[in-house]
Amino acid sequence: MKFIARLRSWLRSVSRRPSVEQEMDSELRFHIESYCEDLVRSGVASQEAKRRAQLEFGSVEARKDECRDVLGLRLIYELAADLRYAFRMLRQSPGFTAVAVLSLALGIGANTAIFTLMETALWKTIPVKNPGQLRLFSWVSGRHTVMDSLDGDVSSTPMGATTSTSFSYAVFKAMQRQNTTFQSVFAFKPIWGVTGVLRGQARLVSGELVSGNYYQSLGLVPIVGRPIMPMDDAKPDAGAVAVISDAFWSREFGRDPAAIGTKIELNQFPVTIVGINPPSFHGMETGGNPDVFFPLSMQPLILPDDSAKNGSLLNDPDYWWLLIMGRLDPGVNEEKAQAALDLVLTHTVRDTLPNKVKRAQPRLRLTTGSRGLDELRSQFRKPLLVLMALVGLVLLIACANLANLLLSRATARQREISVRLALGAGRWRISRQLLTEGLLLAGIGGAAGIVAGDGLRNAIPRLLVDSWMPNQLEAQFDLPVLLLSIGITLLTGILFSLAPAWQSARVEINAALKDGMRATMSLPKLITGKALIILQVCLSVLLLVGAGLFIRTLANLRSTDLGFNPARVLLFMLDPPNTRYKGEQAATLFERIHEKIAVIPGVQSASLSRAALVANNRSTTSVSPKGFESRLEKEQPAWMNIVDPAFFRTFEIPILYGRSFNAHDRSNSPRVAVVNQEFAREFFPNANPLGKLFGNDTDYKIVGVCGNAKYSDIRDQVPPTFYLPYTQIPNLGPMTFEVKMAAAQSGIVKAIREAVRSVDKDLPVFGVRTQTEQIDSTISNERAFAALSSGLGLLALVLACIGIYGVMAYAVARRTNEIGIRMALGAQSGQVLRMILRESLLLAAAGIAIGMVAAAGLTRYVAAMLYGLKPYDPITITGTVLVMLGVALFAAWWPARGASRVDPMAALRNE
Amino acid sequence: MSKQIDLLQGTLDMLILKAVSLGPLHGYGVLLRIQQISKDRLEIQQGSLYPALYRLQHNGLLASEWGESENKRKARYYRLTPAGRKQLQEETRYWNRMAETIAVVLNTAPEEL
Repeated sequence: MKFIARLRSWLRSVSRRPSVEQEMDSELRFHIESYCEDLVRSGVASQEAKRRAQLEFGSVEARKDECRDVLGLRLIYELAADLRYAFRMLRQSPGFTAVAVLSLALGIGANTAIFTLMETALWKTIPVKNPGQLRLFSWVSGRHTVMDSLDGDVSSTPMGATTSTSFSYAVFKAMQRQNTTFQSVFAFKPIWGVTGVLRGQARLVSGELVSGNYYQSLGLVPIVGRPIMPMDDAKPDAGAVAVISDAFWSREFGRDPAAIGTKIELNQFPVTIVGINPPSFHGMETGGNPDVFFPLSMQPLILPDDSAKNGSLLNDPDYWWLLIMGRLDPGVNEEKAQAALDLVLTHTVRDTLPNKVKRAQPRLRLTTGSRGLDELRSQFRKPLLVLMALVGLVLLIACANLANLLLSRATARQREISVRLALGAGRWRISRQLLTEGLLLAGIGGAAGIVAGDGLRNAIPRLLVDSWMPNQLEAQFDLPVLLLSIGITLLTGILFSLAPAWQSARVEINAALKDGMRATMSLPKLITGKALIILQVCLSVLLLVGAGLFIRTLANLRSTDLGFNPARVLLFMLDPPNTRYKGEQAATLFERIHEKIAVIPGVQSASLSRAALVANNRSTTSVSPKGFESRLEKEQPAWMNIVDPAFFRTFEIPILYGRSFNAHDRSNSPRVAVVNQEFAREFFPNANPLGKLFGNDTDYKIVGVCGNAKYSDIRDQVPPTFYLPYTQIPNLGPMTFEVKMAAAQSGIVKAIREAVRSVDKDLPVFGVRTQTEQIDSTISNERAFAALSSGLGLLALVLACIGIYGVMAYAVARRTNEIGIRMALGAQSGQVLRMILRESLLLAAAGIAIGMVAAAGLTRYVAAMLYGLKPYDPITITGTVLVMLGVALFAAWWPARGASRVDPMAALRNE
Repeated sequence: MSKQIDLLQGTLDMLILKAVSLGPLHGYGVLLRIQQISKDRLEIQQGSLYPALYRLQHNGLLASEWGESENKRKARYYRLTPAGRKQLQEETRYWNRMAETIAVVLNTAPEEL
């Protein structure tokens, strides 16, 4: 009861402060005047009455303060006064304020940006109804799995078992039918690319195949039109319909509602657009944003699979490709649900794959589905954690630096504080004033930081993600991020104003007032300042070591011998739909396009290959040389690429022995291969590989040996590799073209598009980039780390410089007398100079020593991210030590020179 | 001066509640009424009256509104709220019990033990 009354009274007082003040004033005046009148009435002279009335009432202002205190207003007044005072203090020293705000803005901004990315990449759930109820189905099995074809994410558990999230359509249908514990069970499959033709224009679109109950189960309602419904998926080719993404709607239709009902050809099959997804929904794969969603029943028509009967994966129990999710009924025991589904899986596998009972049977597992199909997490978790650590260090350094600056300012204000204490200010009150100043500073820095972070959150993904791909890491600035930034701001403010506030509260008033300037240079403060410098140097060393390691890693990667020449090579991709180009028709198509491109002016050489080089694409297969009694024993994995005759010329990979492919290597001629040196060494040691046969099902004759060239990743050793001519391979699938240009040209892409259009106007050209860009993209993490850590390292150095300068200048000022005496007694100015510099170097050395110990403990966590060097890289360590000592010398130079020029007479008279 | 009694700690609030319970009063009126009832035997620091009034109002025991005083001026009049009336009753009861007990203790003669 009382509490509510107090709260109401407080709110009223705070919200109506001017009128409360005015009422208080007139009430007290009324009292004094009434008393005065009464005194006059009782015969006292009016002057005397006034005097007595005031005297007996006491100090009006003191009473008002008491009243304000009662109302809880005092806190507000004091805060306002503190803030005003703090603002004035900051305005008086613009240099200090600028350094403080800038370092805080960078520190808090960087933290905000990284946190925004972390939230998106690691924690955010998909925007559907109750994402917490969703479970993604997966299975675990022994190594010899029941299915022969598996398309999707497959990985090995530490125990050597195989695990995946892909199921056959038959398993999905059985689970949907026999489900008892889930509200619903639905399926989907992200599609990397289909050719979409809209208004006669071809483009590559991404998509997602979804089961009929997908929208209903997710609780997802299109913003325009209708969702895909069970009837669309009821029987094969039931619904030639699609729902498009909001982004696709904006891009292709300019958000025109007339998009509903429009027909779009997907791999030549016309479907009708019936709905548009809400803008927040980006499909089930984090980081993806499919353009079109269409029913599973469309798979045989739009994405027929050459290996399956009628191209339909829906009838093939041996092809596992589909992702299944369920929405768990609230209150259902998850283990029971898992056991029930496991039974369904076991039965279905037995019924649909009757001849595989001897193989390892898959067991069902439920995993969280609240983040959909979580791709971002695995991709960005580690880089983001490292970045978070880096920006955290910078913020700490900024804090240490500010604490130091505030400390020396507090020293300069010692007299002021002593006077205030002597006049009766409480120590807590003084500390609060200093805390307010710190928080104000943090607040300004934090506000600037949040603005900076908003800009950085878009800049950092650009460093991490391939430039020619759609932006995967699209981070939104939202409430949790804002709250965290404010939290960080408050915390840093408290952190760096704690030391000065604490120290000021312990001032000895008498000593401080009596001794004037000299006593203010107290020793404990200097020690705290030096400790802060050591901490700052130590943290900077950590950052510098990190920066050194990442820069050296990047340099090592850049200088790796590739074995091929990436200069002036332009890459692009073509993916002819197999609804149109069957069997060997694809090879013929590529041949025709190749001819057209080879004659574009400025093209030196054009070729194509299955896997682009250094693109993390790989195709490995086990092969063995023919002619050995036991081939299985000799069987080893080798890497395969399917190329055309000009491939070696385009990349300047030398043919060391034998020949490259030529026009005579056709589908009806003997199968041939070119192998690299590593392959020859591995499979035919001490023998001439030319003319030898190798293979598994098919045997290939080696017609040439080429030089070693990196295949999928520049960090890997060159693997044993063999190349096959594409003219001998049916069902080629997507291929990458490589175009070597005489000189960098801007018009070439347009010419290429025209060349492709002239052969097939519905075939989109995509993935256009140079080979150099391609290689750069595989080292984007390293590049981002090198750029960010060296930038942050530089910032740390500047801050350390300011910190050391501040403390040394303070130390010199404190010792002016001592230095004067030394010089009067015959010390040379050079000796004084060296003395001060030595002191600074000692501080730096202490910081470096501690920092190196910490670095030794921490760098092993990034060992896996380094290339060509160990975490304790001598060059990095030496460089860090030298740079840090150099900075310490530089920062101490000016105070030291000032000390060496002290006039002994002036210094002594100063006493 | 000797006939005046210094106010015991915490009793001012009780006296104010009592004074106001007899009818709405402005601050100066509260002072006069207490002096009148106590026959000028209680010494009240005039200034200390207002923090006490503000505290009682802040705690919801008093309410106030502006009205016109006997000398035709605007003055703030305080009156008792239901919570204030309850509080006054409780404090009166408590005070009487304590005064009684202390009186008994102080009046005890040695032979009564």
